[in-house]
Amino acid sequence: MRTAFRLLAMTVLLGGLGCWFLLGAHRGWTKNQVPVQHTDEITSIQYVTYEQRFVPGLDFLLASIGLAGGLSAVSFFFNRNPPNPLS
Amino acid sequence: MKKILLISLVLSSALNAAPTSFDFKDPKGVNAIQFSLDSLLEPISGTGSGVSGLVSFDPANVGATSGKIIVTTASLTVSNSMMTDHLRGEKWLNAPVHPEIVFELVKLDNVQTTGTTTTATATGKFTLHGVTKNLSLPLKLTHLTGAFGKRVNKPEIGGDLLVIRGEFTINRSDYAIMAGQMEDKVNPEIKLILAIVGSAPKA
Repeated sequence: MRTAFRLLAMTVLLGGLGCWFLLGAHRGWTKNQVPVQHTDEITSIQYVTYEQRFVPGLDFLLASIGLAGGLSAVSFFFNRNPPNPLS
Repeated sequence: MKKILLISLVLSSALNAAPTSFDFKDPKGVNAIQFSLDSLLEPISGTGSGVSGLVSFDPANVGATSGKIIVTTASLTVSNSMMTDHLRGEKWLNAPVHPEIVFELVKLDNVQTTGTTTTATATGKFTLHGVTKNLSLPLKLTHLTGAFGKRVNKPEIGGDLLVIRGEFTINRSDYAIMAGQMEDKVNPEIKLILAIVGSAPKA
């Protein structure tokens, strides 16, 4: 059980890091829609539309690290070697 | 005969001098206000696209420009849907109770016109979160004669456009928006950028 929790913690940590890095390594807040700038031809007004896209930010990264840390901490509540029922 | 000619001349000049009403509910859906405020990680920026309102504008008497611009609170959007929900929610702007953000233009001062563009200081009443305050802000107005049809890809339709641009900063505590709270995460100052177009089509 101890090992299972540690493996899970490692998966969460690597998954979170990998997801953050591969989806743009955004160093701000997590976005689930991204602003796209356009310009109106006649008036030259610059306006924004939103594209539905998930961009994990530092809050996502911190949450992944926190969750991995939590799982890792929980693993310490389990014995290293379960007691031998025969002894 | 001379009298009739004179009367028709006076009438026609009076009609030409009448201010035109520009509708800011944009048929192309471009109109929006942009807002940004500093926060712990990065500035929180977003848009409010639910713009409507009427502005009465007379190129021969720009100083007499008046009208009202309305932005629906429920149209305010940022890049994170949870933040958007918080922004519109009870703790912050409370969109169900205060559904509109309104700027009522009372007068224009320091009017300076060059060609089709006028710069001026607008004075009016700004209502946000149910609180109304007097506000003065620099505006740039561009009057595009006969440009309406071209913009909506129907050149056969006549009509003018009025573009209003402006930038101003407000303090959220002045409008009772979480005054003095969470200032480390959500800056007390909110920068608002206005770039909107009004249409006055002619049938």
